[in-house]
Amino acid sequence: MKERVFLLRDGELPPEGRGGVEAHLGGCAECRDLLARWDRFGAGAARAVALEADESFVQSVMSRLGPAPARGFWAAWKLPALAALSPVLAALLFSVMSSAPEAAPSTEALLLSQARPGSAWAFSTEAPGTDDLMGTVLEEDQ
Amino acid sequence: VLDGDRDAYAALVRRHETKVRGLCAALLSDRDEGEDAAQEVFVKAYRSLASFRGDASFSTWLHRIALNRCRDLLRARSRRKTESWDGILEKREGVEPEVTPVETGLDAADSADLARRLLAKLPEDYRTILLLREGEGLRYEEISRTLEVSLDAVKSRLRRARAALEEQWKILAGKEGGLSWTTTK
Repeated sequence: MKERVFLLRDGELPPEGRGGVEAHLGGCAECRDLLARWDRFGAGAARAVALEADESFVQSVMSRLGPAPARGFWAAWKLPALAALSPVLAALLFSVMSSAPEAAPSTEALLLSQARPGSAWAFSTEAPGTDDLMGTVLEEDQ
Repeated sequence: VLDGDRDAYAALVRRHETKVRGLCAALLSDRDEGEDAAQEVFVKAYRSLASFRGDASFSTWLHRIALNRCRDLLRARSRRKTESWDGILEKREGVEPEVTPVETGLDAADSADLARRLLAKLPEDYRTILLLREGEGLRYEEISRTLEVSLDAVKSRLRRARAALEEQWKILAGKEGGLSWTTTK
């Protein structure tokens, strides 16, 4: 229970667990004592670390700073390098796009190109479906 | 700030200096040494800004630098003490640091003094986690990121640190009659 009392105090106990611990605290003087003691310590610790603002401290730090921090080679040269390389990249992209091979004809297109010209149904609006057409072409080849 | 804007960095120092100075002073149990350490923390942070990746908040990153710096100083202090005659004598005689009695009705300054004295008696790991939780009021998740340990490790270290502090508190209360251990009547 002590563990859960601390979780409650630290604000780390899920909402569904709070009711039980709070009910326990209502009837347990030892746990209430524990909480009061740690509240007292916590207030002291918070005071111990919270100092008054001190401008002379800030000035001392600023006077000790050397030159501006080095940003690292890539961080410093990233933008200029990208700017310089952009025409080259654009030309490379264009050449790749323009030399791309045409899409290879499908097997179906090749077979259909061998069909006898003048087939009555070839241009009719009642043309058969691709499967029927393929069947016909293959039969003609045999 | 990353472009070397000193005014922007001065604003950051102003925003975080009280916490960093307080943390260093409490960790080192020495106000002057804490001030020097805090200055070094901000100087080091400025020089390492390029390595700040932004995956943690600037405050968490700064805390991490402060903890590492204080850890180094404590180790150096421990080495010096071990090598010196004072350290040898202190170990042999079990000399305790001088303590000032604290009355039961603690005012704010006394409660800060009590906290400092109790924390000073704890091992560094326990002192650190208690300062982050009780002094700085950090959530477990923030402590986990600052110390770079898991949430479970935060919980278990906090539990052990609290038990150790309670032991010290009981000892102190036993030595100093006016310092009450229990508060509920």
